[in-house]
Amino acid sequence: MATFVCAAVVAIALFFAVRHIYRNFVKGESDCCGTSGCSCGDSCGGCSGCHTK
Amino acid sequence: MSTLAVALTGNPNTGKSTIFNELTGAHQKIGNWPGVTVDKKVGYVNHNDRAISIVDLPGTYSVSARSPEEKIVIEYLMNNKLDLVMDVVDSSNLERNLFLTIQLLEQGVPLLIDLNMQDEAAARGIHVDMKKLEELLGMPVVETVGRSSKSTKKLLDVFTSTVMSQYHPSELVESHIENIRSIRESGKTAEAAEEAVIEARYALIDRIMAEAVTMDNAGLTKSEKIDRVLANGVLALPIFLAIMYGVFQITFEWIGQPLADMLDELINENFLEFATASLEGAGVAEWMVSLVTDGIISGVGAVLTFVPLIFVLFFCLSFLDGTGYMARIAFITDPIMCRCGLTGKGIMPLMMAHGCAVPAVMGARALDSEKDRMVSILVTPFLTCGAKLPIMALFAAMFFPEHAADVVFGMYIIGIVMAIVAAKILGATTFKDQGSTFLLELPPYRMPDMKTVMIETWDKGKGYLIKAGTIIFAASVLLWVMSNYNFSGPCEIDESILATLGGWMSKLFVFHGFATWEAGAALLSGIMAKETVVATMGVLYGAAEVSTEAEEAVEAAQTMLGTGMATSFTALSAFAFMVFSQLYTPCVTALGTIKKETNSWKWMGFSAVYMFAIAWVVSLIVYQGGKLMGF
Repeated sequence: MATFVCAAVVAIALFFAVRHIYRNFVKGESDCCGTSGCSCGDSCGGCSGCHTK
Repeated sequence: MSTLAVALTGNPNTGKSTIFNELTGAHQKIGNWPGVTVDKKVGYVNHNDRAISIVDLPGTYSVSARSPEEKIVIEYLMNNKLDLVMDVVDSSNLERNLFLTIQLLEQGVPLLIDLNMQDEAAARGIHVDMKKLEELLGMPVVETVGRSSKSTKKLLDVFTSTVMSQYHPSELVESHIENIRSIRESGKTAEAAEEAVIEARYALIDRIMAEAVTMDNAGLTKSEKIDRVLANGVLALPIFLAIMYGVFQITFEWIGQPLADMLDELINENFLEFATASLEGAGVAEWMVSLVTDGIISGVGAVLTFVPLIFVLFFCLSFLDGTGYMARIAFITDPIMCRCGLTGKGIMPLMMAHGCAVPAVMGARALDSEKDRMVSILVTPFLTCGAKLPIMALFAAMFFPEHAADVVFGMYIIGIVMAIVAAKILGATTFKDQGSTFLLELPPYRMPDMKTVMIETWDKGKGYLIKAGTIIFAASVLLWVMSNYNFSGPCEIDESILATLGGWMSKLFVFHGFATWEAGAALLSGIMAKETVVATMGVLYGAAEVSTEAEEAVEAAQTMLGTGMATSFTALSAFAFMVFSQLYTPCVTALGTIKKETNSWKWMGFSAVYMFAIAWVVSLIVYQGGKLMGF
């Protein structure tokens, strides 16, 4: 019984983890640095002048 | 009552984001504008029984729609029904800021002008007559001191009490708009008309400045005095190195590492023992105990121990950014970076890469030219990120115990040299026709707003916590399964799926001296996250636990020595393995970020393949060269 409960907890946690990874992949997002954009190590102050293209 | 829709605009470095943070606090939603990875920040606040939504638009110098930010601002202002647009103006730099203000007035947006940084303007002997400015523009004008709570309340009062429909552009502005219209309809070429329009705007700005602004002859400003020392031609570089040394000391010695050690002890000793005892006591099957302790807790714990370092580093960098010194770093290092084929702004992503390649790749957004940005994105993963450090510490402690620090330092140098060489080559080949410019505004020195620094630190650092709970958690479970099972069921580790995959991978390293399935498996798992190279080594060679600490790495190394790792590597092949680990394909998160930042699968694939190829060649040269020299 204890093994079953433990396995269920791990399985649920794994489901949410994989779902999060999948959603990030689909949306093209990354967890590293949150979504704070150019403020990640920028030198532009106040998230200005930051773009990808 | 309907929600009051407010948008904040302004030039970069006017304190707009600080005001936004003060107004909205933690009630922010951060996302991207559609199609581009420019931040979209929306905040919500209630004041005087009125719900207010506030959008922080990207900082721009104009709304000519030349850059993605300018397009975003003008499209947002034109396509959304806004009750009020607050133009945050740096009072100490009014002449330049008014260009955007005039453009916004031309577009007929309901404009509230916020004269921010009045204190700095006063300190520089600049006095703005608010009433006169309001009269000249025909729009309401308020003054703020950036981060004072009085200013915040005043702004919220103004938002809820100002009826913008009562305000109309002044006769002066109306005649300017008429003048602009007649220039555009005059039949001039587009370029000539644009020049004439710009001249007309500056003529209006000159008149406003003459009538509404007085200046005392105040001599050098505080920032100019500080710059005489910090941006001094001789002292600038030593001071910069000293400050960075201080940041790394704070992070890796004084505050970050002690916290990391405490967390390491808490997770990898106390919690691990507690979890093992609890699970065994509850009668959980042995395989499940192993999955939870050897797999999940060890795997996730190894990453969590880095979290204090990451938060302390980001805090220091956010603090420095808030002071205005970061912009000086780019200015100071520009001559050196030019020799590497980049510009001064490229220094920040390179520095960040020593923490993690992901923020470094994202940090390349701050670079002005496409060439600099692409080169920076493609070379930063060569540097020694925090996740590679345990690999270096482990191998150096095991195979070069007398010179461990020198060998690890050597790996840093190899990473930096390869990044420089790759930047030079990419700049001279793939991106050779693309010019790069270096335009940088040096903001005045300020005491950083701690609330903004804390929000930025959390915003940057929380990703690591999420990563530990998701991708590292899933990777740990996968690694455990792959090292304990094959397609027939439970098995010995050398018959596991991991061993089979590692065996395939190892065939690539026949001439490198480390063609073992264990090394192959470790390198393969490292593509998931670099931390897992050492975690895999630990599992495969039987080390009880893995740590970033040098002393514990030595202990782990000694454990491994007794269990066969020494027979898999010689000192030379170990060095070649370290070189390969230093330079090869970035982890999947970094690759995903490269895909996102370049918006191209091609560049992501290129990054993965060219780094693997360079690592393979350099590692081969190291091993075969070493053999030829008799090592």
